[in-house]
Amino acid sequence: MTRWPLKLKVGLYCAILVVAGLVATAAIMLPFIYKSQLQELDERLAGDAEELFRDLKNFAGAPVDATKPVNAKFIPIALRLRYIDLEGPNGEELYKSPNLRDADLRHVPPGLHTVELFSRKCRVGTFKSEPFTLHVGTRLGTIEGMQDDLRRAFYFALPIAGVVVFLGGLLLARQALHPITAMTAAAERISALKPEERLPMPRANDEIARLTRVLNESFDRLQRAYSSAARFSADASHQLKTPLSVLRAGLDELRSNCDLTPEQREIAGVLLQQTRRLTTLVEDLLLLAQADAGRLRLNPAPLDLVPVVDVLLDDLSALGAEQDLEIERDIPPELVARADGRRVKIILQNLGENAVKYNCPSGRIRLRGWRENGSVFLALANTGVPIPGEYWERLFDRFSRPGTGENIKGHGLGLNIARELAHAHGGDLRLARSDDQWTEFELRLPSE
Amino acid sequence: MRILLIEDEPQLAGQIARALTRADHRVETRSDGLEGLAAARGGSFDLLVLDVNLPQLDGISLLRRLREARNHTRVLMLTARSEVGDRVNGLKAGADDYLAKPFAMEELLARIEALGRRTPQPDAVTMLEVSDVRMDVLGHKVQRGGESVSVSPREFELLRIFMQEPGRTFSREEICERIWEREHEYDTRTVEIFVMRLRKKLDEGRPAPLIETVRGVGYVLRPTS
Repeated sequence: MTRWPLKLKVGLYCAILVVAGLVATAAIMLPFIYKSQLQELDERLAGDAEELFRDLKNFAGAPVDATKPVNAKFIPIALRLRYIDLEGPNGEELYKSPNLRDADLRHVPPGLHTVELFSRKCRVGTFKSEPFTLHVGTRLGTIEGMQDDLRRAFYFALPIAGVVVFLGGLLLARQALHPITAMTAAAERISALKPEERLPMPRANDEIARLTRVLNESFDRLQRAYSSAARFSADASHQLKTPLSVLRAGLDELRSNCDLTPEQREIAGVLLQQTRRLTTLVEDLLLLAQADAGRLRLNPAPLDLVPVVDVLLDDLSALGAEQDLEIERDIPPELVARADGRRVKIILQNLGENAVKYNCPSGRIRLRGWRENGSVFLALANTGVPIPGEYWERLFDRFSRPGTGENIKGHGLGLNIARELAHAHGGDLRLARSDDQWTEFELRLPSE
Repeated sequence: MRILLIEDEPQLAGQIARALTRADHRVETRSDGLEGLAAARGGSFDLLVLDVNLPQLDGISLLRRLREARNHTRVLMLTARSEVGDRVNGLKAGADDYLAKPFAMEELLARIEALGRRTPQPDAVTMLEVSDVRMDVLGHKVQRGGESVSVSPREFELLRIFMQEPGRTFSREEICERIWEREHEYDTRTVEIFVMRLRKKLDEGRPAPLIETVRGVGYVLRPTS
């Protein structure tokens, strides 16, 4: 549910609330109506009893004999539909209405009670007026029927109200969220390429306007931080390159000196190699700084990966010559990606070197390529000790070389750079498997 | 050649100037953009070696002003490698060639020679021929004595380096740098392996190797007369 759009949730919550409200109303209203109708009925029963008692005590100027059965003609016409059971002072039955048939109401205690009669609910009142005791009852049919009608009306109204409120809520939420949608679109336009763009201020001075203001201020701060970081990395790179150039040229000058002994010449060669290494490291750091600042500029173009892969395999055959590595190649005749050739070479070089470095003697390297769902895949696998599961993600961290010995060369940026470059292309780099057979990295690039 | 070097880092300027002098060029040095522009306009130089980052006036603006003033002295630009934009801007502003810092001095000298001889860019050459070896640069084909030899991509690049400058001795480090832009685990040992493979393919049945080893220095491909 957390993934549902907000307006759907608002609509749904509204509908649930309204339905719950209706149910609660019904739960309170129905018993209330029932009770008040019952009270009314009770009053009528009491009225009936009073009328009968009055008639009995003063019929044609004299009271009726309380010891003899009462003739049906004493009973007022209004009471002929009621259940009536009249007792004398000693419990003798004076009158029982014919509709009671063989049942009687004498067991009903004094007061007003709901009892079952002929498997139907009845309201029975027991009234005393010396020397008579009167049980008068009536069916609850009307009241019960009304309850049923009301309940049915609610059942019918609930889904309709729910749907109407849901749709209304959806519409309202859409209207309320419209400024947010516009803001999202504007925020998406603010990127590393257009960092100066800001969210448009809404005309109304409401909560959305305050949010916009706060966000714009944050964007300002972020942009300042970003541009100073980017400037720093560019400056640092330039500052580092100058001494590197001097070092480099100095070593060249030294080596061109004919008086050097072979040992001195070798030392100069080693220093030169390290200077180149330092240069590459500086460039890698600059690349990562640019990636962090979102300023990594690619020049993507249609790139057939087949020749690139062949050059890589050529290098690997030489690199792995001492380990006697066997190389397998499974690539279609053409595999065109939309990518920056220079950067893809860096990714593959980094992966290729790892495949040699972490291989076992007389091991194997396998490179596969394929197309799938608008993407191009290259998978480079090597034999060797598998990488434990807990290191799989940390493998791509900066300067992390988990689970490897200190005797392995490299500065630990290779996989991180490769992944950053893959992401900058809109692709991905992941460890697809690492088991006793293969450790395989899978590169995905957008297809042309 | 008369060369004007405009470079603000004094040590690097000194090193370049010494290397150029040793290669029999006459060098004048300037250390900021405005002085450099004045010198370039005033003197008659065959070539300008121009740094991109300069105080007062940066290299690209300097070059643009020079070209606006209809000065067509050839220009070799020095820039930082990762700044691809520099290269594009430099070439747009009218540079004839460009070299990324830090660079190998041999490479700088070779580029200067190429510009001085007014030879076309090596990349534009489609056929190379040294002794009985023919190379079809575009078709990636190699023949020796009329028989075609199949070479791998790296072997091809390696042979091309030798064939573009026959008679010149290349150190292993320079070959390494020419083939692999980035330093990596590809050390000089890898170069030896590729030279070995190339010899095996090219020298089959011949007494002397085509690519000779110069002890303690590197390799050379000597044209037979």
